[in-house]
This record gives sequence, C-alpha cells and structure tokens, in this order.
Amino acid sequence: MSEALVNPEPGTAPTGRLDVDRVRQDFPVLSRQVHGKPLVYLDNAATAQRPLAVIESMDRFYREYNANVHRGVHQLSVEASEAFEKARRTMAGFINAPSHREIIFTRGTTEAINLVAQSAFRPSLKPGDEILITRMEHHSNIVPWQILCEQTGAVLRVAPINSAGELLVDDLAGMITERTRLIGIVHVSNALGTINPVREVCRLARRHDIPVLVDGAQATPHLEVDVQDLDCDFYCLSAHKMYGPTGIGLLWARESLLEAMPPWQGGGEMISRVSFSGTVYNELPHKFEAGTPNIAGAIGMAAAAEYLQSLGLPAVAAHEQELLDYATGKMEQVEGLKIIGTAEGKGPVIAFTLDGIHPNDLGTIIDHYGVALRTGHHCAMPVMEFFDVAATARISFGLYNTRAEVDVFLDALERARKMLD
Amino acid sequence: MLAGSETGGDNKSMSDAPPQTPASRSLDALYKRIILEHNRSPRNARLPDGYQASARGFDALCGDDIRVAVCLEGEKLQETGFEGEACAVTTASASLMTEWVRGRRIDQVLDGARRFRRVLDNPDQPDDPQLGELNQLRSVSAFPSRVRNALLPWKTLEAALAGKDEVNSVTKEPNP
Ligand SMILES: Cc1ncc(COP(=O)(O)O)c(C=O)c1O
Repeated sequence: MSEALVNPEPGTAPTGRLDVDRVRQDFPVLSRQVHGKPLVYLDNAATAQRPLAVIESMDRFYREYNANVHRGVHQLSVEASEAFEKARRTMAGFINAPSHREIIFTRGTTEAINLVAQSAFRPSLKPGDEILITRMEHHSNIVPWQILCEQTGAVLRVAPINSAGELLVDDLAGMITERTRLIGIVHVSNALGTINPVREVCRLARRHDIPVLVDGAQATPHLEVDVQDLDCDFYCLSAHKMYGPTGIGLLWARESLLEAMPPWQGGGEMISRVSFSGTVYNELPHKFEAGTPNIAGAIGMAAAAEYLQSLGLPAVAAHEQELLDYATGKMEQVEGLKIIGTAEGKGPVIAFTLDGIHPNDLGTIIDHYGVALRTGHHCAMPVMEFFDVAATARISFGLYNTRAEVDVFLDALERARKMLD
Repeated sequence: MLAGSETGGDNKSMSDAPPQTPASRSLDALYKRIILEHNRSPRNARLPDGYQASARGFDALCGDDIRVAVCLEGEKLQETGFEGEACAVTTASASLMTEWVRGRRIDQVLDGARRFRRVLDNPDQPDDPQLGELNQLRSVSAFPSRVRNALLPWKTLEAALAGKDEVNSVTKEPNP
C-alpha cells in the first residue's frame, strides 16, 4: 500500500495497489454528509465525482488565462489555445490514437454518435442498408440510428444477448450481410456491466470491410483503451464518466474516415474562408468543431485523463474488480435478490432487483443512509425488456469506493427490506 | 380518518431509522403506516367488471406501470380499480384514490385531483379538508423525486375520464 501512487512521475506505470485512503482525499465531495450520514457514492456509472486535479485545472483556466481559442494574437488567447490543443494531444495519448488530428471534441458520447450518424452515414446510406447494433446498447447508441434509418430508409438490426447479459457473437456474425454498413457496440454496458469482446467484433467486421463504432462511455474510467489495438473505426467517450467535467467528450475516428466526412454543423471555427460564392472548410479536427468550444471542459477532461494515468488504470481496475467480487458475493446471499447481468467479464456495475420491493422505494430508503445508487431503466429500455423487469436498482463503483462502503450499502438494503416488509 | 391521526409513531422500523432529519423529510414520514398498509393490501386492485373508461399510466423513468379503469353511472364514478406494477407510493396513492373517488361526480373528482396536486406541491400546505384521508400522502411532498409517483394514479384517472388511452408521466429523460 505504501507505494501507492497519487502523483508519480508522468508516464510511470505504478506497480503497487491503489491507496484508496489517499485517493479519497483527492475528491472533496466525498467528505460531505447526506442525511446526517457520510456520503457513499455508488452511482459512478451515471457520473463520477471530480478530483481536485480536474477542478483546479478548470479553475486555473478561468482565473488565469480565460480567452477564446484560435482567435487572437493576444497572450491570453495564445495560452488558452495552447492548453486546448495540449488537451487534444493528451486525449489522443489516453486512447492511443495515431494522431491528435483524429480527436474531435464533442459534448459527450451522445453527440459523438450523432455526429457519426449524420455526417459519416446520412449522405451515403441507401434504403435497405443495414446498421447492426446489440441488444445491450444505451439509448444513445440506438436512437441516433433509428433517426438515421427514418431519414434514409436504412434498417436497424439488433444482435441478441444471452441470459447472463453476454453478446452472442456468433449470432452477430450471422447477421452480417452485404448491406451491413456499420456495427455499433458498447464497450462496457452501463445497465449490465458486461465487457464486450470488442476486438473480436472488430476482427470479424474487418473481414467484411465494415466499420465499427464503439461506445466507450463506461470503458474509459475502468480499462486501458487502445483504439489501434482494438482496431475499431470510431470510438466515443464522455469525460464525466471518467472523473472529468460534464459537457465534454470526444469522437475518435480514423483520419481517412474523417477526411471523407462532411461537416455536420456550420459556423465559426470550422471554416478557413467564407464568402457568399462558397466556403472552404477548415482542416481536421476543426472542421467538426463549429463555434466556440468547451475550452475549460477540454482542459478538465485532459486533467482527468492524466489523473487516471497517474494512478495507473491497471491498479484502478484491480481495486474495482475486488469491490465487484466482494459485493457480488455478498449480494448473492441476500434472499430474494437477483443480479441482472452476470457476464464472465464485467465492469464494476451491479444491477439487481429485490423481491417485493420496487427499486424506487429501495432508492429512497437507501438514500437516507447516505448511499447514492441509481434506479430505473438506465437508458437501456431494451435491456429491461429482455430481462422482463420494468426497472432495476444499480450500484456502480469508482476508484474511491471501499469495502466498508459496500457494507454500509448492504446494511441499508437490509433496513429497507425490514421497513417495507 | 382525519389529518393528524397519522400513526407513524408505532412503526416498528422507527428504531432502525437514521437520525431524524427535519421531521417531514424522515423516512418514517414517507413510509408511514397507512402507506405501507395500502401498499401491502391495496384496495380495488383489480379492474372492475364492465368498466367504460380506462387508461394506462406509465412512468418510463421509474418503471411504474399501472392501468386505471372506471365504471360510470351517469356522471358518477361507481367503481374505480387499478392494476399493474408500481412502487409503494404509487400503489398506496392508487389505493387511496380509488376509495376516495367512489360515488363522486366527475367534476368533483377533477377538483380533487387539482386539490391533491396543490397539497403535494408544497410541504408547508395545511391539510385540505376536502381530501380526507388523501392528506396522508402529503408527506410525499418533502420527497421531490417521489411526487410523480403519488400523482401517477390521478393523471391516469384523468386520462381515462378524458377518453385518452395512455399517459406518460415522463417527458424528459435524465442522464443515466
Ligand atoms: C454506455 C453509455 N453510452 C452512452 C452514454 C451517454 O453518455 P453522455 O450522456 O455523456 O453523452 C452513457 C451514459 O450516459 C453510457 O453509460
């Protein structure tokens, strides 16, 4: 424990375990109380908390060098532009993108997917073309394709999952046709925790020359992501899931794809010359970033990525898996509790139902013990339908959670049951 | 039952409760005996035979999914029942509602719905004498995230009386 690293030298991979007590001090919100009890934050899959490194990086921007980017010769603008573009390089490194020109800042995963749908596919899709996704997608990787299908006459096809919440890869392979134009797949499911075999799906798709879009919203907080190793074509993420600010995320795509895609929003920043006889678009990545960007957000996102790198994602993942195993083992012993999502490989997410207690009531009661968890459909209604539940309760761990917090949750669960019995 | 006769005090889970936050925010105020009791044995928890109007109330966010059906005799709600899957607050509210509306005219029921909304709007509202036992649900007003649950049966009943098939209590999805 002693060698746990909060601020190791940049780039050093820590060898030790995560020192959770130390790490917790990086997150100011963790010291607050809720209903007179210490906060136990188990809703990390909805959004994680922010460490001081992120908060201070954004604060510094606003206090010391706030200016618009790429627009002025004055010193503040130069500093802001440098920090903004440095953030792009940091994020390229974070997912091992071959070039920072391939990093498009977006509002988050949702906007990244919509960008791909509208820019990369809408102009070329023909009636009868197919988009193939999986049954466990988040609404943000379903609805943009439904809209696209309505616009173009293309067809949305959905690969099945099994009762453990695992993708049936062979079935997906069997659904590939010569009309398949894209495979969209969630890297880690927010509703089930399932880690999908993305590399395998990409290999499969490559044989048919079909591009693959990966929804990485739930992956980047927990896994080391290497887009070249995955061999995917589009990768989307949201900063707020990985300890960064809200309202910022990114799309990574292969440069050749981005070059071929038309801009999807027009305005400032994305042009190089405008006249009424014609407008010349800016080069990558700016072609896709119309208007003043979320500068502080990009800076905060990069700070979050650096923070995760400083702790070492393998150490983070090992700690979270330990919590997942511990909590899963305990919850399996709770009478009437059913875990929804029991895949072989899982991120630190446990969705469940409890006989006789509606998730709504569970959420309210547990909140009173200071425990934040999520109830509802988790923006994955097709998953709820598959498991024939209207809603589930879900706990999801972050790097700062502890076994003691799992125990507080289990105790609150028992009290909820007593109360409603 | 009149307001003020609530029986939270002898709730057996009292001793397990966390330190009391302001009284109305306490869990025992929400899960008071009458709500627990109506949740455990809801009244009119079936659709009445030969109903003339019904609607489905679905809250996509929470997963509450109920159907409310009404037998009318002229302007009067002869019998009202509900079925479905819902949380304790929705179930108790539906149960209390179906009792309250029995024998009342449509205009009285719609007025009741308005009054009920008003008392749920604000924890400081006094009881509304017209609402009788429904005032017991006022404690929900201190739990803003749960007010929608108490209202769902009423919205569904209003939809049924207006000849609509479905109400969806969610207009906007939050982020997961
Ligand atoms: C798996 C998954 N995909 C996509 C999203 C959408 O991300 P955002 O709302 O940040 O755009 C989320 C979370 O909201 C998610 O969990």
